[in-house]
Amino acid sequence: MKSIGSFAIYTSLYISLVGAALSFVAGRTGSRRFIKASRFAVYATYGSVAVAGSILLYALLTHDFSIQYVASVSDKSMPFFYLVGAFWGGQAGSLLFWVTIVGLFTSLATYVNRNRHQDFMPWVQFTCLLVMMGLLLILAFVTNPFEGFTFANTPTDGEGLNPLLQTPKMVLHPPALLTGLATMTVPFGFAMAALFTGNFSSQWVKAARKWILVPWLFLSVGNILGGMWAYEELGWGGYWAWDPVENAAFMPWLLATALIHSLMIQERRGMLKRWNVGLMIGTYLLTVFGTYITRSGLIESVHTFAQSDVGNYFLAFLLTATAISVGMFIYRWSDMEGEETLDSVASRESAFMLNNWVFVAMTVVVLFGTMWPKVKTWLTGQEVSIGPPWFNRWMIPLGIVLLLLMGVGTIIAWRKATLRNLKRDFIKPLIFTVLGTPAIGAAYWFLRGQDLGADPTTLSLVYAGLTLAGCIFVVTSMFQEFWRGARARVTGHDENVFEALFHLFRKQRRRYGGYVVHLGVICMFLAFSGNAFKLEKDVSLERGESVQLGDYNLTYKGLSEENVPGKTLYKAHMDVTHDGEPAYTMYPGKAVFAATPQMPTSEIDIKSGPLEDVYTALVNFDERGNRAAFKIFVNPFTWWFWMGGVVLVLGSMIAMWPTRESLESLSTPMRFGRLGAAGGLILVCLSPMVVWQVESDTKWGSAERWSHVEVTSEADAPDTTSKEPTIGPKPPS
Amino acid sequence: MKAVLLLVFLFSALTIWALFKVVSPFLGDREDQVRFELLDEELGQIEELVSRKSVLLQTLRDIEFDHETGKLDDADYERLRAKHEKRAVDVMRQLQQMRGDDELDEEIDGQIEERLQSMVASRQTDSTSKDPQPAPSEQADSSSSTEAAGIECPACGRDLAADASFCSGCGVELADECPDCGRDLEPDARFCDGCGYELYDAPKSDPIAARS
Repeated sequence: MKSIGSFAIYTSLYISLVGAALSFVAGRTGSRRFIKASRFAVYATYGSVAVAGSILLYALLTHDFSIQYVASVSDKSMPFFYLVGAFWGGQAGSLLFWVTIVGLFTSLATYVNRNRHQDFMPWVQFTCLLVMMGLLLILAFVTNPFEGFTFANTPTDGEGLNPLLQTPKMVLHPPALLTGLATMTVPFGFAMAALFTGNFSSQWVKAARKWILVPWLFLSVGNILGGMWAYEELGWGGYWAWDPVENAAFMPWLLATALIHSLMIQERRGMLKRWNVGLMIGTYLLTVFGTYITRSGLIESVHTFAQSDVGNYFLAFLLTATAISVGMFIYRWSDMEGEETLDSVASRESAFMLNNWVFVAMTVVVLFGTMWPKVKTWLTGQEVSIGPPWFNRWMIPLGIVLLLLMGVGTIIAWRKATLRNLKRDFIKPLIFTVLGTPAIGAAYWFLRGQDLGADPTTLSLVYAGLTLAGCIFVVTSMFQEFWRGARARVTGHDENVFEALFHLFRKQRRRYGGYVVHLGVICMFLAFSGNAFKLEKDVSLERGESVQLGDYNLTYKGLSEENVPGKTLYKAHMDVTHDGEPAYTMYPGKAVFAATPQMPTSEIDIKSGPLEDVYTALVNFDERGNRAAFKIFVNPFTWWFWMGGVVLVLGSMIAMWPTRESLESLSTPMRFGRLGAAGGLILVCLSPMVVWQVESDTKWGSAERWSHVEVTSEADAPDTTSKEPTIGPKPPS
Repeated sequence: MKAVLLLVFLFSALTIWALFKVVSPFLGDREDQVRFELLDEELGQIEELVSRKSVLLQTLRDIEFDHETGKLDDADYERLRAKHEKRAVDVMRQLQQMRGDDELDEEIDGQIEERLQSMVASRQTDSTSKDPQPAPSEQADSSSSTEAAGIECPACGRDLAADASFCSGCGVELADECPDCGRDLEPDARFCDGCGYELYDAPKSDPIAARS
């Protein structure tokens, strides 16, 4: 099997090389034979990479430990679910997954445009095939996933997957994020095609625009899932820690978001061509850079399991890509003259430009914060560390500016807003903001914040207030938009309000889908503002001792121990009272894996609600369970972050829902293409919600999942000594 | 597990099929290859125009909507709409021309066929063979006579005498010299062939649209 896998990788490397050559000729001559041949070369490359991918999957599922990769990321006791997850659990596999995704989406872009844009499509294929070729070179000669053991050395069982990764979210978070990073290749291909051909027309924008939304959606979903994982598994009470690898995924997302906005300006006004092409290239280079810092282990992070020696090859790849793209960018500089200029500072264009600058500033801050400790050590030998407080100092003000611009950009007029426009568009949202902010703020404070007992600093209160004001401003201006749009239809098309709203969404998916995405972001900002009232305590408790946090009182009742195959599970029992009333019992725990006893994983228990989360993590305990240390948090509004994620994804779904026109380009026998497009979109969009639901409704989400391990091999059947979890406190043995 | 093996076979099949398609365009004889290169040149152009048309129509809808919801003031709205409408009309005209030419070709082919048949028929019956000849000469006469008779008003399209100084339909003065660069012009020129200056506004009330 492994020789077929290796053969498939070498074949795809060869085809991608041939395909790149064919596309080059096709692009230079416009010859239809070459155009057709290069198109099919893309499919063939994808086909052979996918052969390699499915062989690796097969090897994982059948426990073929003669392959080193399989032995290093899986073992016989792993259930099906995690065996699939092991595909991208290691270096070589995730790289293979990456190339497969690039191949898949390049093929899709090629197929959808098979009869269109024949002037620049060959160049898109050329770029994507070169990218695939670079990655396949690394796969074939540096980390071949099909590298085998000699027959005598073949182990009988594998080493297993990193226990931190054995949660349902980890099966979805890496592929979502990897897909997001990998699919960024396609918009990069479009940017390079524009540079190669010198075609920066509105057709180019139209063709390229769709493909930037794909990585954007996947990056969003991937980051949200990563946040969930961090929040529920790592035990430091938050969903975002400005970890270098998180930053690596966040930077391309920031630039892609900026690009989605500025492409609208180019589409409408023919402006900002240089900016857009530059952003597209920058976004792609940042994804490669992120991959480089993750894989090389250049910077320490929670993601150390992805490290290996391929870093230098990625650096070479990054430098080549930078040299070619920046070189072409400079060469075409004068061809990218805008068709029109900015008419007025008070206009939607300038609001969008400001938003772009803020996004770029944020990217620079994150990049600096990620790289500076390394650079400083390198230059002076001094160790510095840049932690969340540093990032927050810059990102919170920038975020608030962005929030205001979100409101302004939604309602301000195009080209030039007159005083009359401004009055008409801004007066109502401003009135609501000025009256609503103190009202809602005071309401929260007197009804909840006061009892909660939070003691925010003045600065964080100011930030929270500004965020609330921004949220109200954006929401009211958005409802004004909905209202005016609906009213225009009601008078113009003789419809009732509901019909009008429905038609607005149906006829202008992009615009209204975008507004819904904004609503999701507003929910997230609300969650951020909750951080001002966050409570946390590190406590060490005797059995029976209590701790007060806000108006919650938690009593440590005892520790129970369970033995399940492959690991030992410790569960603390805590009775929680809220405002003096008994509320519920929480079971934070720790799992110690037999394979990796030095890496116990935290099993967090969270009671979540729209107002606040109560979050408990077991940090340490003595042998007899008489004393245990906990981290306890009360996180106001965190619930809204996940809610925002759901709304954001829903909005993207509306905006990206395939139009009739784009479905026509997918016409396949029996409508497979259409069903596939719609079904795939729904699946991707719903994945965070599905995971959330699965984890809260089943045992998969808590420590109890270890009690019921599905065993795939008879030899490792669960021993009968494993006990059902006991609910009451009992003396530890 | 079986399903995964099936995947392996499916993707292998895809690869082999695609590889065959990669080489197939180069396998035919020379004539086939040339035909392949030339076949859908025009189809490609039509597709390009159709996609341009749809972009323009979407933009027009957006402009309309922005105006309805007060995002665009009236002057901007008029200006933008006129500009995009003009472009859209141009694209549609080009499309019509490309498609219309096809129809015309067919019609001409049909007529030739008809005449040929009637010629054959007339030869067979030995009747007078004058029938087909006068018609083309008539046509040629009429077309040459309109050409000789005069010019078309560049602003409104009305037929005018060759030496007219003003249009009898819209009253526009026919320029004989470009007001921008001073070049001598044909009386029916719409644009200066020296500097590209547009001499007549299509909608006269809208100078900005004409400038673009």
